[in-house]
Amino acid sequence: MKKHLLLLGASLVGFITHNIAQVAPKENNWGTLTGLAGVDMQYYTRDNIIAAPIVPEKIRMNSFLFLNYRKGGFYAGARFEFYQPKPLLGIDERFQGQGVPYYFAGYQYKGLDITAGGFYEQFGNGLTLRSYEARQLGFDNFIQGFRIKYNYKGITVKGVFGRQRDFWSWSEGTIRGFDGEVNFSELIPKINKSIFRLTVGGSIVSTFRPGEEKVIGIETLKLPQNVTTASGRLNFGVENFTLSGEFAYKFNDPSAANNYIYKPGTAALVTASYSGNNWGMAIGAKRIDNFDSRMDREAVGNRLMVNWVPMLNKQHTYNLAASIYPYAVQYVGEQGLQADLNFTIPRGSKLGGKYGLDIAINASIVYGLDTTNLPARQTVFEGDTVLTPDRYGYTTSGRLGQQYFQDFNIEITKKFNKKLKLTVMYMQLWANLKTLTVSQLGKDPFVHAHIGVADFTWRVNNNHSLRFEVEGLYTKQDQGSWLMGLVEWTFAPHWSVSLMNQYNVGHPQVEKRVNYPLGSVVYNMGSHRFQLSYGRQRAGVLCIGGVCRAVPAANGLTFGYIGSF
Amino acid sequence: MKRVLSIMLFSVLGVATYAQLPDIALKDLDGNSVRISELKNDGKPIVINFWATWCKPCVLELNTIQDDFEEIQKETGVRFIAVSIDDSRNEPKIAPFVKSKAWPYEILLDPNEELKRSLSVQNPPHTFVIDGNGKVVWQHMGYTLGDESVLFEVLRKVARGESVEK
Repeated sequence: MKKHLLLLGASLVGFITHNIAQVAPKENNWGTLTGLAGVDMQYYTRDNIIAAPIVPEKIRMNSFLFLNYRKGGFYAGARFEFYQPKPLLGIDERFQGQGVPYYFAGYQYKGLDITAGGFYEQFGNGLTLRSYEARQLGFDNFIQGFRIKYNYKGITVKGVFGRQRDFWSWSEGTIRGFDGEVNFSELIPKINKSIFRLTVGGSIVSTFRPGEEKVIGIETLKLPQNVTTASGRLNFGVENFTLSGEFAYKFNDPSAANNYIYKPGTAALVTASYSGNNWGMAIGAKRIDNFDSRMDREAVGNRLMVNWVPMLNKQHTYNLAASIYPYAVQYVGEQGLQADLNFTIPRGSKLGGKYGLDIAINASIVYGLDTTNLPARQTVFEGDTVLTPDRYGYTTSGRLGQQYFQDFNIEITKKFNKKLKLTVMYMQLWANLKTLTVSQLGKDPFVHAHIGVADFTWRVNNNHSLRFEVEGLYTKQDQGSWLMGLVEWTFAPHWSVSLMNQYNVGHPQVEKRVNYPLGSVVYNMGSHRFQLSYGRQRAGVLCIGGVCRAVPAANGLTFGYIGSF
Repeated sequence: MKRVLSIMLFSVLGVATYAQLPDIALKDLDGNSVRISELKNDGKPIVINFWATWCKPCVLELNTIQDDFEEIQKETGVRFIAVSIDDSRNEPKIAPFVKSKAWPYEILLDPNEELKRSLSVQNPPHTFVIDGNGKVVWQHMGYTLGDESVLFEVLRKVARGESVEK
């Protein structure tokens, strides 16, 4: 039945669009149809040396087609997804299958926007609610239901009601949310003309999850079926200075993520930034305590997340810096600081030369909370005295807990002339492997690493350019040191060819000092892009031919297509 | 099924000329709303470029265009809008980043990728050229050195009112 419906739907869309195509006048009376299609296909070969997982089906595929239609204020769209026979390695296998999970229709009229069906939404920084899609990560938590938005002279209100995507099904629970924001600079002309800017906002999100009781050992916990999270935020600016902050509070929410404790959660973010001529800086602080919100109490990993806590460290893109020891936010509790400074030594000065010299310095440090578990309670069970944990959980002091992460980095970019450009980067990293998503050996929980990068671009002529990249990561812990080299030749506007090798030169076990060579060819045609790669891949972010994507660890042949129309 | 899908794809490609901009409000660096459907430039071309602070090719593209921007702006009257898709992790860093580079572009923020999704963009950088009638007449995905010459040529054509091959 489902298959027939799908076929019927597809035929209908096909029929309509086909007919529109036949008669569509150039004046665009028929509205606008845009779309995005993507195919990622990989042929996996056995590779015992890098311990690549064996893939019995040999070829796996992730693909989708998203169509988006607009006419006047009316809009509608749908996305067909296809993950067969299984999703690519690294993507959650529960995505296996095909169908049209995401579809919507809506209407916009003078600042009013009503959507029915699937939608993505974020309140404030995302502390109370964020639904988004990161396809390369296999993350998608859109809400299916109703949304109303209204925007008038700096006043924005949003209301959402729905259930959340859970791979190919839906969350059992429902989500209700409201967000309001007033931008006084837009609302009051007098402020708009002054040097001040002020925006104030707030949100309330309530989730309903069925289930009144949970039995753990001898305890029977009474569960709150409705959990409320509330937040307030502020953004204040004077000329080039901006101060912004958000504070969120969550009422008791016992779940698998917090070991079923009833302690309320809190989250606070504060950032300040200043921009001058040719320079700017930002500093940020955050504290998170018990702030994992989900549509299912038992959900773990990336499943059914309602909120999102921003990371407080630099988003690196150089291969070794970005993908060997990336930091993951600890929703259970963390506190941290970050400072970020960018400046350009101006063009024409002695050091700046004709094109200026760009310098970026960034430092961040993250600690856990200093917590003390409350003493266990004595409960009499069948005549015996049994100890059960205090369900309030723990108390926190203002002190720092265990250190989780530290990163200092400096990046200098110098364009010598129209043809030559060099970027060098140094990074010192300190990571606690307990908090990382990628941890291989686990003997030593701490890693201290130095990373160096040199990235040299030679523009041979207007269309041809060559790029050389050398990276090194030095550490005595975990998998030891790494070296990486890349040569990329681009011939604008269509072709790009690259060869890359990563070498685990310092692995403590000599037989695991492995090379990861990878060759790629990219063909770009306007908004269509084809890529073919062959070789070994270590998990990480890969940027070739001008576009970045996340790639899982494997060995084999990869074909990728992405097209927007 | 295969046939139906191929008809669908074919039809879509056929109809997808002259996309109009959606009615989405984004914030600028001062927090003020800018309605995308109401963007105007006196009949001259508008560029919408999706970028992010963490995207190397994006920064390379915007830096490279900066070198010739004054000239191309004088020639075509282009209004250049750089839409950052940085999420709230990087949002406070955008203004300092842009100011440090003294980029001459208008910056808009799309932290939860609303406009990006609506214009069917997958990865940054992605560039759209809008003609004097508010229609998307050209788009390009990715950036490699030399691509900017193609963009400049498109802008010159649009400014002269000539048609552009997609």
